Amino acid sequence: MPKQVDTVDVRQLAAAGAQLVEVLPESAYEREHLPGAVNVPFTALDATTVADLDPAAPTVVYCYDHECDLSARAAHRFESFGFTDVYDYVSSKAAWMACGLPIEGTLRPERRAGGVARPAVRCAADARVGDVSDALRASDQRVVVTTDDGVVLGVVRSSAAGVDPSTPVAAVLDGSPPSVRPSVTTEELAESMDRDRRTFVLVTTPDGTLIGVVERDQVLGRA
Amino acid sequence: MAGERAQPALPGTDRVELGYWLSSEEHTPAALVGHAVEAEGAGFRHALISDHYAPWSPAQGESGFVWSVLGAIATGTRRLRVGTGVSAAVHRIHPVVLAQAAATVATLMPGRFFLGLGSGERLNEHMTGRNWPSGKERHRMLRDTIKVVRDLLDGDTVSRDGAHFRADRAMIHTRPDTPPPIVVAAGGDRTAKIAGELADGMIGVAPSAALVEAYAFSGGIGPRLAQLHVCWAESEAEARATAAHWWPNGLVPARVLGELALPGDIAAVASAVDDARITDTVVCGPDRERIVDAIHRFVAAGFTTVYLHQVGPDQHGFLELAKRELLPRFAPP
Repeated sequence: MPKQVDTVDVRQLAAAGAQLVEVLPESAYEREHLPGAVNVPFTALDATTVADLDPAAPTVVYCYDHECDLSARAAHRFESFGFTDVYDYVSSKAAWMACGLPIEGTLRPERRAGGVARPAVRCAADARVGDVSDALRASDQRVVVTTDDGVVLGVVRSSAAGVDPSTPVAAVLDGSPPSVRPSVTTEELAESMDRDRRTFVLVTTPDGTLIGVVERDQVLGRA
Repeated sequence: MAGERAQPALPGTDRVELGYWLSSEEHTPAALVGHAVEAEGAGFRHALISDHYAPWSPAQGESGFVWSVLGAIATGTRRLRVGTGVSAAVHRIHPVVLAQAAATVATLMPGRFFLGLGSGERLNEHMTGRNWPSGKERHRMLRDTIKVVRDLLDGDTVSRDGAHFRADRAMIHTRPDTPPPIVVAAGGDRTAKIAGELADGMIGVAPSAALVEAYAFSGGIGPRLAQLHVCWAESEAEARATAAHWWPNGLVPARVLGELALPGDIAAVASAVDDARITDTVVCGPDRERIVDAIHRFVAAGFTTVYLHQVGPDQHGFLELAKRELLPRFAPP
């Protein structure tokens, strides 16, 4: 029975030398795949096409995302071919990219939000406005407030530079700034920013960890 | 004098500042001038004055002609920068006359006046007996008004044969050296877009980051001004009672408020709402921290100047509080 694993597990397995197998069509693999992964398209999966792999080694099978059933079906087929340590990466490539983890392939990184995100000026949740007023003036935009682990709590905008410096940033926090995953394509991002009239979006992982910020001008051009 | 002219009429955008709201519908013209002078003395550098033909409710009881009041404020103050919050050119005033009024005030207070424009309320437009246009049509009128007023303030001769306004070789003969900036009241996405595309700033009444974003997305780089209603009094009960009496329109949803023609109609709708709900729109009570928290909510949303509107007669008490407790916490460096 293949073991279901998540992104954290897959990172550990890959670091320990596990075989990574993408079972999507070759074109999808060529565009983007996990570092070091090999491609065995599901439609071509049989005993001969996996002959180059070590059946005794840990083998992680993945497809596109958690809705796609190919990784589960492929993992069982790997076991039927005699593979003894098989893992089904259920959430697959979409989850990997949503975490902003390294990817290989022909698609240019700047075609995705994670590839164009710029570093954001950030501060801690217990900061005071006086601690960030220079940054607010310099950035002319906003400072992102995060937990010690980097999870986004909100943004403080430049107008806060005028409030009493001893004011906690939490008092002038916009707690619901827009965010996207690094895996969103810049085309999708441009469409959503245009539709929702956004001048910026934060790029975060699924657990809310800040990667960076994308300004409207980067994907839509100037108004 | 040249230095005075060089003063930007609009507040800056690099940090939040406080302003003072002059409510034409609650106070006599002479009182408004006195409040403006006292506000300047208290340390306010920015003010907005409402432009009404009628009060929101019979209890308010006033509505002087704002352009006359501005003339008196111009001579009574030296540093206060004042804008209209806001004027509309639906039926009550023609854009070519509005431009003349703005130009005249701007010559009386060089570099200290800006024109606030909006799409109007029925309360202040119905009295000419003409039909009340739809919101969409008034938005088109607002766009036309901005263009006509800008052209006239720039010294152009303007003729129009448009759907909303006609003009025949209009020209402003008394103009300031520098045309006054124009800001636009934004209640939603559509007006925020107009403000971003055509105006020098935006005025809002809700601490909405989405509104500020919509303004900036449409090209707006100017100040984002906000109106914040407060009713400071010695006790919570007194503040609530004062607010409910003087500002019953605060109990009426904005989308309804703009469609009602008479002060009595607004009072009637307000009477159907529990007075306790006044605290939804007016910060009531003696606690200055509540006011500061409300200001912070506008700051969080990205507004750059928050104009405090003290509801009711006690402007002196509020201005003392502002001088002592509020302005020092939002003081320009």
